[in-house]
Amino acid sequence: MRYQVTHQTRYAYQQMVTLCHNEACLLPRDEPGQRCLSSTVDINPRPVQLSERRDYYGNRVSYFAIQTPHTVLTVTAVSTLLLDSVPIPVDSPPWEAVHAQVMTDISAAGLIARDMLLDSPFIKPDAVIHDYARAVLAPGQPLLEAVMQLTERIHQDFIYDPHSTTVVTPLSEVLHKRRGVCQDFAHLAIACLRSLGIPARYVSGYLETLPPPDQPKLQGVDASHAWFAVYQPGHGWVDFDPTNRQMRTDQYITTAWGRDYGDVTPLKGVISGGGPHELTVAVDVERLASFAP
Amino acid sequence: MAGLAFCAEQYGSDPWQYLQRALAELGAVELTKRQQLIRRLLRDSGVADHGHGVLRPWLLDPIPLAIPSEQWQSVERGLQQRAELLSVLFQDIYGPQRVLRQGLLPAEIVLADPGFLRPCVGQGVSAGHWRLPFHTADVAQDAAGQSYVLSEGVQRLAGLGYALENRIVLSRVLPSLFRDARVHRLAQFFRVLRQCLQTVADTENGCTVLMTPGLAHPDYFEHAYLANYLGYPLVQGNDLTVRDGGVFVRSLDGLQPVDVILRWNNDRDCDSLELGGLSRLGVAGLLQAVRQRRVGCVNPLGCAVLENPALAVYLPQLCRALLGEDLQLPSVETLWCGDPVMCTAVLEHLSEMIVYERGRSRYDGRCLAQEALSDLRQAIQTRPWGFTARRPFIPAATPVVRDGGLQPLPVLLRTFLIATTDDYLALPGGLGGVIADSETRDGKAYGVGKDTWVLASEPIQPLSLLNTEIVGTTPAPIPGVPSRVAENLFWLGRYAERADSMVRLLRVMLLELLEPDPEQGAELAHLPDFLRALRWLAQPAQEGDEVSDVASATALDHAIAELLLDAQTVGSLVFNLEAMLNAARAVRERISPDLWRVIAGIDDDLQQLHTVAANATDAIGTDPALLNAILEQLNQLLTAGAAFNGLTLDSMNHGQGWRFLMIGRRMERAQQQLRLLRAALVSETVGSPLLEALLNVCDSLMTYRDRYRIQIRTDAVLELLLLDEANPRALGYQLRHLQLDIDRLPGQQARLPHRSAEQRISLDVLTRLRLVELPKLLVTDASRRRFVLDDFLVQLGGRLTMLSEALADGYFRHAERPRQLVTYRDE
Repeated sequence: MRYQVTHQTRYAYQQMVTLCHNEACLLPRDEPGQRCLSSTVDINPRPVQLSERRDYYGNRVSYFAIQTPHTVLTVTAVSTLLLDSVPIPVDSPPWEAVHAQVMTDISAAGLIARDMLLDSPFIKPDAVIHDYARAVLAPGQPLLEAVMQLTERIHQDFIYDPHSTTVVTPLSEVLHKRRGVCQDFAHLAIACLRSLGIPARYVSGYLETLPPPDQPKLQGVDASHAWFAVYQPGHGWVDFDPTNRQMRTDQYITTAWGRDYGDVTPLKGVISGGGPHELTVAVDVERLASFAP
Repeated sequence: MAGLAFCAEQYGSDPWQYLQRALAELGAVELTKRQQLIRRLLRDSGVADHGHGVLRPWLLDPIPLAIPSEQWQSVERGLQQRAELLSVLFQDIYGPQRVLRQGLLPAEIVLADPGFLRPCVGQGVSAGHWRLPFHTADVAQDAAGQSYVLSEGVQRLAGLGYALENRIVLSRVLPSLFRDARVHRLAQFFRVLRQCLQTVADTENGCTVLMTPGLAHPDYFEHAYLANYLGYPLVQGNDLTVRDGGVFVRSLDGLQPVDVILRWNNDRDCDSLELGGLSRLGVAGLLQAVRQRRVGCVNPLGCAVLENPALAVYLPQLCRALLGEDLQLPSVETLWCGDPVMCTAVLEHLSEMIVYERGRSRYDGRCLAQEALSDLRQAIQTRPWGFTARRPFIPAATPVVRDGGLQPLPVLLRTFLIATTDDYLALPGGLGGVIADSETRDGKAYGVGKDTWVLASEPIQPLSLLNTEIVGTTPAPIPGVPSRVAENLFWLGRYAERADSMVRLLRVMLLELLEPDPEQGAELAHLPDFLRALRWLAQPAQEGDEVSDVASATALDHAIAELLLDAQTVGSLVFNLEAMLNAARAVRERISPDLWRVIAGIDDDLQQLHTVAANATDAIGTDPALLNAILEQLNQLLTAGAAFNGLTLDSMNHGQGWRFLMIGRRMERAQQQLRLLRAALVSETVGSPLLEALLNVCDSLMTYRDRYRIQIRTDAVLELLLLDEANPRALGYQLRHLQLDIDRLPGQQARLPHRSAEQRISLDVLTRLRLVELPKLLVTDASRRRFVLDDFLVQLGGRLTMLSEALADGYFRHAERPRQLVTYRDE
């Protein structure tokens, strides 16, 4: 399946911004089941510096600096991708066995998995989270089955509510309020798994949304999405979406992954000037006519 | 005095015995005397400075920590090997991570460490330099004479400035001893440091700067001191900006390129875009500039991971694997809780251990209550990889002068290494510290410093420490004055002048109280005028308000207590002096030693005033002893102020920074002059004693008598204090020089025939004054107010305020604070 993703971010400031340095994590990486055929990032006003690098986890990060005084900044990333379904392992070990196996693994993949066991800036599991997780996973349950159970449990216990949390709401508050958005749910699941010694990582990307039958798809209604993946030794990473209570399908497009949201923030920056601002984000995930690539 | 220093018996070489004998001959009493001299020298240099109202408890012991050459060489070799090892390790951790993949180092020591900064991976290093440019360590000997490394530091050269200062002071306190004892000199180290920094840069068109977190940092003195000594501009994050991919200093002359940053900031506080620290401390985009090889950062960003104490456990095996050698200089025995076996050992003996939680705190198991111990146990079990522990280590003792005698106390040595083209060079000796508690690395723990003397068996070639010739034929370009520095100098000038005019007025008032004029009858007759003037000087916002205080002793007591001594009252003399000192500290590196001595003296006077304030009774005005004490301080302040003014004129380079200091002073003096004139001359009823007092305050009484030889008259006073352009105390003089100084500021000439706001305003005020007709100013209204004069003075004052704003807009405010862009989330 071929997709085109357009992700536009627009900041409108009340005062002039004289200088800004930014990092964008908007261009999709190649992943099992996903190939990025082309991608561009268009920035207005034109940056004086623009360069792309791979971060520690291999994500594509665009650095740019703008020295032209401006009151409006738009960053538009357009990518075309080829998506395939990913085979999911039939068997998985009991979840309790994962930790010991990972801790002795010094391969490149193993080191990444061990990284995903540790605390990260947004995710520091505490006793409350550990107890929540411990109550969900049954002893001896196969890993993927156990993680699916956790996914379902979060979906059941929590209400999707964009007004209940912000980008900096701590997990303890999310857990207390039982409300949040996809970012919160992904963080929560990761915290639960790490507290049990299971490596888990944060994935940001997009999910194709289909209009109701007989209605045309509206432009810009999609949004960036986030979920998590769990590490199965010997196989690799398997993705789960607690917001939509499902495993990843071929409608999921991965942009980047990391320890938590902080590693894959779509756009961040340091600006001089600007004052109050208004932010608008528009995302389109469009299915392209299928033909052999 | 047997066993005077560090394992004396083992060494029979001549210089060693000489030093031992010479110190013994001096004796404890003489050494205690020398300690007094040390105190004074340290105070003059500003090490022991009242920063933020707290006296830094810095002391230097008169007895040096002496180390024989041979013994030092083995320590030096061990340190060189460790620096080499950490360099290789740094390359690997931020590169291929072979040490992790080959199992030489448990991954969590790196991955869970807050010092491991993922954005720094793959930043590369400058072509000429694969080593860490510098390395510091805390080294101590045990009672058996074996040396151990307690910790290593690679983010900043913390303590180097103090080591240098200690040497300079001690070589003055024990001059002949220092000369004859064959002490290895420090100068070569600083030369190599400069050379090393030059090789870090891939480009050669910019300069090297020393970056400090700022005045609030407890070791700010050291940053300023080293910047001064090395000849590098001292900058804060906000003085720098990344443009066109490179790093620049924002200076009065525009943006000046930077090649190398020798930084005192933590890794995290260097780039708020990528490293997530505080934006006010760092420079957004710095790491990207490093990646593009546009600037060199010393030491490289991300090196804090090497300071993880858990590394000590694995250094022996890393050394064998990476360098093919055995580790020569061992670490003090350390246990890492991430290893299950070691963790068990730590938990078993927790109440005997010193425990470090990486990036957070240090716990002394011996001092923890049962509950705290079990909390700690819990924390270790939850996140074992973040904890290291060791048994307390008490270094060998050395004699220290204390309480008039000698006491054996443990010492620690902070060592410094700098990379040369093929090895590391150690500073001979380092920063010795007498410690009550051997387990702290923090520089502040050094209650008493010790200069460290490495004694050669051969005579030493004398090398000049200061003004050594710098390697390379072309001097490195010096960037213009950073805007922040200009702003601080401007305010230094303003506060100095404001304090000065208050002191002058207060002195005349107090003299009047102590020795009332017999011809005047009622002794407090013109106190209301004085009080009004004093309040207006102190608190410009109240200018023009009548002072409601009645002319009474109580009112005067109140005014003195408030406007002179109360540090909490904005605008009080004490407040202004404090502000002046803070401005001076902020530009410490631009102030010559002589000028600093004057400023330290002002600080002392200020402390005296605080003491007076603490002991003041309710009736200051009627207590002659107290008044005399205050008067004495005011006289000293006046003399210090004159010395300050003289030295700024005579011993400061008359560059752009200096010009801002002068503009600040002239601006303030003009404003104060306007307020004094308003307070004294607007009412026609004012008698000649007050006019005389006014001339006195303005230091112009003699000039008046000399020039006019008549009774004191308002028109003549106005001529002398308002219009005259030759009297340095007259408004006319200030305005004329303000206009000239502003014309010479960067960028002003280039604009002509167009004029900047500051040029227009300064020309406007000067012209208004020149065109004014004196007789018209003396016109009065029905209530005998000279309303034309009043309006005129108010107008000029308002325009001077505008001038100050225009200067700030033109020169200071382009150092605007950057902030984080608000991010959005995945929903």
